[in-house]
Amino acid sequence: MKKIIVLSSVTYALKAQEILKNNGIYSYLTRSRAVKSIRGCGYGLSIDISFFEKALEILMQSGVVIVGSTDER
Amino acid sequence: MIYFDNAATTFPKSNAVINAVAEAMKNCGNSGRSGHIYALNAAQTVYNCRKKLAHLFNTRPELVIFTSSATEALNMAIKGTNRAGGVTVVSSMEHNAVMRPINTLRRRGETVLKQFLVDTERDDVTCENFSAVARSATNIVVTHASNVCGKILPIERIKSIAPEDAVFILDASQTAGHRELDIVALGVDIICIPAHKGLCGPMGVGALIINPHSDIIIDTFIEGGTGTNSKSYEMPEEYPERLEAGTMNIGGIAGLSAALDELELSEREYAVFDYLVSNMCGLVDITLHGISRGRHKKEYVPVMLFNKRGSDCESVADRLSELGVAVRAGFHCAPNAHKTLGTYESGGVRISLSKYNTQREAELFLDILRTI
Repeated sequence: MKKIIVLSSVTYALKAQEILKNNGIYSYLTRSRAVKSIRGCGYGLSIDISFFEKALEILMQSGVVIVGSTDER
Repeated sequence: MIYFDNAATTFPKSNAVINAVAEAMKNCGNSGRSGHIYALNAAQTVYNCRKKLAHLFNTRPELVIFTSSATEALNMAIKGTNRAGGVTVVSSMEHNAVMRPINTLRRRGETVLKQFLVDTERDDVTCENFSAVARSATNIVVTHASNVCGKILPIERIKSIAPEDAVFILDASQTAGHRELDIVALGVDIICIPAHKGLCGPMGVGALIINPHSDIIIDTFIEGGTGTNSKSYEMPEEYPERLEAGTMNIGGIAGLSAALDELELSEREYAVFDYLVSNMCGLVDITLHGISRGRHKKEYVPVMLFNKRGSDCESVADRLSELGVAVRAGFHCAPNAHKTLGTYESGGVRISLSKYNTQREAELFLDILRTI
């Protein structure tokens, strides 16, 4: 099961991906329908659900603005 | 060819830079537009370069805005931070990349322009001159080093005198790649740079760099697609996309990224520069402008202006070109700097060095200069 964290732009998505990687959480960049439903066009990070809460916490602590989150469909 | 025109653009570009541009053309799509491998390659290429510049200037990656040139970055910064009723203060050494956008604002009645005189010999006098006009400043736009004579302005001292709430924009076109530039330590709000001068990257790329401690809001300069939030007609609030409408120069950014990997703040060009200054000071028919023998290298980037007695500057440059030396003559898009240096009527011949120039080239140049 995957969750998607939606970021405001590809720049923030890549920054978030790097921050998570530095914390041992791996994700991949996506422009899935799930992102589209929140942002119109944009990028999200697909992440294993078991890391989701931890990832949100890390990103918020790092000052990364999270636009939303959704299930991967 | 002895290439002494590095203040215009550094030459040659390294193989790493050339290869990076070519590889980007082969492997990159449009950054931030799609989810396929070519678009993601482009996005990663751009982000990697943002990170390197952010590290170099001590800011965050998202506060590095890519532009097509330092000129575009300066237009964006100057016009995007100007507010009605403002007073813009500039030095007497500014390039037209600063003076023309400010003049446009002035002509529209959107700012009042004030200028302070730079004294190339005495920083104290420069600071006093700034202090005399600084009080009412809402925007301050200052070159870090003159593109005409290489003189570095005392930015830290000028910043310490400036009104705290004034927007401070630094044109680092001639210092980026030659000097350490920590935007937090300098305390300025914005630094504008080109890729293709001291950083030795390709032409067609520049950057506007924002201080992470600054809360300035830069109005959009152009509007258009950013690949995000496409259903809105408004530009995004967040940097960098807020200021980066349209397709980016991915090849150029890849080249800049490669150039940053090779960047070293070299002492070598200063040794060559000092040798040239010392020897040219000793030539009776040569006049140097804005620099004299024994000036400390911390006060200059390796750029100098000279004239040859009895010869028009363009004729000297033409003759040097025929004899295998590339220099630039004329007014260097900086008429006020020439007024400051006393060369507004004559213009001058500019020599500008890079890390690729050698002592041997300097010796050959001096031999040639003595013969023309």
